[in-house]
Amino acid sequence: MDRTKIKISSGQFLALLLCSRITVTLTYSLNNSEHTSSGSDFVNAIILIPIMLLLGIPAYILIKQNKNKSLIDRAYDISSSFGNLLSVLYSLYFLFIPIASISRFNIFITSTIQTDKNMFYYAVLIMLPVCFATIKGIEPIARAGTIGVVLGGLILLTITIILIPRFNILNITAPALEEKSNMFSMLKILTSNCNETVALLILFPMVKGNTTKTYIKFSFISGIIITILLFTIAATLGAYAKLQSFPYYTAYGVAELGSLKRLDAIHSAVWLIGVFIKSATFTYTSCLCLERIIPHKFRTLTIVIVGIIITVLASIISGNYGNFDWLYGSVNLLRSLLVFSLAIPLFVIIASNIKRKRRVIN
Amino acid sequence: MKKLLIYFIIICIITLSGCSRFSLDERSIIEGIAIDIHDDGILVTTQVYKQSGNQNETEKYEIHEAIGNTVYDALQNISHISGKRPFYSYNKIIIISYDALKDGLYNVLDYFIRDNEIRHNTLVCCSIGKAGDMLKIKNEGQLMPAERITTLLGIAGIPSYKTASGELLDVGTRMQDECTDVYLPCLKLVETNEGKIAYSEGSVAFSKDKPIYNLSPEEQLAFCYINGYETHYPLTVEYNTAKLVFSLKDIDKDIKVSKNGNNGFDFNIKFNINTILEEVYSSGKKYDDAEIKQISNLLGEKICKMSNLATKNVLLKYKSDIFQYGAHVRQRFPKEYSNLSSWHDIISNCTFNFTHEVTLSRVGENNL
Repeated sequence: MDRTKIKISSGQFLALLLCSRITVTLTYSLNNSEHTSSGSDFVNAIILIPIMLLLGIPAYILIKQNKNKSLIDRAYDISSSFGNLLSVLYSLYFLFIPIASISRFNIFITSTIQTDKNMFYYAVLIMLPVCFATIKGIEPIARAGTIGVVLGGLILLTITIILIPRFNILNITAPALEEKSNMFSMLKILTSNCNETVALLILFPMVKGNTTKTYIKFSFISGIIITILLFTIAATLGAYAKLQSFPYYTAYGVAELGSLKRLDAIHSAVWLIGVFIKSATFTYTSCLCLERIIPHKFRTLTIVIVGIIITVLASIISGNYGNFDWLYGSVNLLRSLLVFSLAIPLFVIIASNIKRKRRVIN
Repeated sequence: MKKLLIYFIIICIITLSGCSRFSLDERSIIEGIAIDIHDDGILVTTQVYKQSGNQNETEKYEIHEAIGNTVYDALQNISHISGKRPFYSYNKIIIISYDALKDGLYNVLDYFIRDNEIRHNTLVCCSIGKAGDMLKIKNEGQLMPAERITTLLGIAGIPSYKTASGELLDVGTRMQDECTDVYLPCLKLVETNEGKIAYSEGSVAFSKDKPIYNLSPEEQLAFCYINGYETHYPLTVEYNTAKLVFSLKDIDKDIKVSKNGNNGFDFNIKFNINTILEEVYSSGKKYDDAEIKQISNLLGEKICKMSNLATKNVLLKYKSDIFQYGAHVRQRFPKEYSNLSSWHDIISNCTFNFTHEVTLSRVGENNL
């Protein structure tokens, strides 16, 4: 994985980030949080835009200082043992994301669509192409991401338009009616899923063009898409969403276009594409973090081992709702996101700058 | 690697070729569900699509029945008796007997709202008399398909099931919403010389989850106008000795809410009616276009009168807010709404004023 040679365009990178973000929003389930869907949810999505921009500040500083050195490279500049430590920590963090995505998909499929299949079956089916894509590298994943985001975007747009006649504006309640804790809970969920910000810290040297501009575009576009998606759910389902495990799936189930019915099948298809691209991106990023520790000749083996770990853990976690709730507890996620996207990168930036200055003085 | 990919695709084709490991003949394709109260619990009747290899067999549907402690339990018992796994995706209607509703609508519908397989736009209605008998009605010696009952409800002037009203989604949303009450279309079974016939018996308004008032057909139409549900049901206006039939192309409502001095709210509801003259039934006298246009205002007055009466009878008398007035207050005055102990407690302090504007878009062959 020679990063200096591998480059993807900023458009492809934007597609990867959007694919990951839309997948999370489209598949949110109310089961694993205390929050219940409300009409003011989409206000949180608007607040999310500046939060995402704030979370991107360390990446902006890193890019500004040296566009060819990722966070891990900068950590190695401080000391090799610190670099190794961060490589392992970030690799584990990125490993967790496909585990969570596949677990959620597993739970959806086995609780909603094919209740007679076992959890391991789908985890294997998803991880086989994910490992194949990871072995092939970031370029094919990015190309698949571009196709996925165009296809997914068109499908989402079409279904949202179909659902417009079903919108009941009376379902939209004013934020003033919401309990502050309830509103904050949704904001926490939305923020804690911003894993793309952490991926940016590792992947930016591989992106051609202006990465900062791409991230700003991503923050605004994803904010707008999440706003539209949450508004669609609130206007279509209203209080009904409280009793639905997967509100988007329910909403898409009532969408009809002439003789085309049960469009929830399309929702599942978009979800599947999204899970594949997201898992492949983060599995690749996880393996990329380990590239300085594990020799290049063991790259394929590393990916296979990582794939097996993800498959086994995703099957175990999705086998028990309690495990999944613990893993997806928004507080845990939020804490780890803040540590990996803000605390560690800021520490690395300050420490590497101090070390550089000392070198200059010496 | 290419070989590996080919093997993977072959495995996927073999293992993911069907929707389930159950073959079609192992599943009960349910077309309609009826829920009644029985001495031993809840009686659930299902109309099931009959799968038969015998081509001479003409009966397309069959009836399955079972009793259980809950709706889910009864459905499971049906599954045990028939030996087939139920498939709810094709279910068209859920009929609940009036007696079963006395235990509360929440109890009866909870399973269906939470289930992922059932369509959330399935029509829900109640029946006067045994609900299971609705699914057993015979037409030309065969069971009448449950889908025909949904059409029957549409023809009877109840808003089409393609609009929100009467659908599981709409009923469930109203059940969950603290300031709105549920409304269900109602069916009645009548014995005639030619057999049993189902017909629409207006609709039922709920207070919380209990049925409280049977709406007349006129109140039912007014309910549609106020809620903005699609209905094209024609209205007849009497003028001197003539009867003029107008059909409604569309009817928009504009609801303005303001606070009043009685700790309540004033509602000003304006209907913008776009209508077409369908028929003039008069003894000799001919009406010109200008005169008909004037008469069409009487249609607006009629709609306002119907809406006023429905609001008085259902909302003010029985405190059942099937019209979603409370949702308007919640949206326009969120702070005041959050300070209320209950919207239903202040309903009697509210006033309602209806106005109209009628646009006659066509008079016979003369396009105005």
